[in-house]
Amino acid sequence: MPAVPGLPSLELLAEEAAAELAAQERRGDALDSKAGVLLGFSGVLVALTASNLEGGTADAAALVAGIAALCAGGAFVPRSFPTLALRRLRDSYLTSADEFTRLRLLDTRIAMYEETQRLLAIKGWLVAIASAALGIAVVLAVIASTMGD
Amino acid sequence: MSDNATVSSDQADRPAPPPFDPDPELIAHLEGNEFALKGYRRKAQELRDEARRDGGPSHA
Repeated sequence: MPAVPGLPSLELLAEEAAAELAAQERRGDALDSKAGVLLGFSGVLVALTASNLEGGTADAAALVAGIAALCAGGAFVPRSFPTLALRRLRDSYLTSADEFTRLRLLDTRIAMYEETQRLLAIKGWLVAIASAALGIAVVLAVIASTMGD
Repeated sequence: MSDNATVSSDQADRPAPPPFDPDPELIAHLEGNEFALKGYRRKAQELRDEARRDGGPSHA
């Protein structure tokens, strides 16, 4: 496709933006998978410590595992998928200059990317907290089971 | 050194890019989640307003 006169890098930037959006999508999928695994493990740990172990350490393990489950659950909330309003695109830009429409689409995609980045950052933090809390809960559960012997 | 000087000169000759100007109304939501859609549109509007403050009126 030929470069747009006046904005010779517009096509290149549009391709880069599309590639970054795809990478963002993969990163979101990876975080969803991690959150799902953490949710499962922490849920099991809550049930096991609450039903099989006794004492303050076991209660703390169940509590921390519960926190891990909550964080993982928060991160696991289905991601939102922004997309282009095609009817609006057609109605508003069909008669516009090609360069203007391409630039507006690029800017709109960048705005969508930045908002998704913010949401992914939150998701990433929740997964990190859940992961750390699950690790602590496991250690506490081991201590509780050792002390219970 | 001379390469760096050439690059700097090219960059200086470059025209300023047009202001960042997304169209919030172009954003839809795949699952029809109105809450999420408002977040995306609000962010686009914020970025647009910010660019206009920094770089003057839109090229639209």
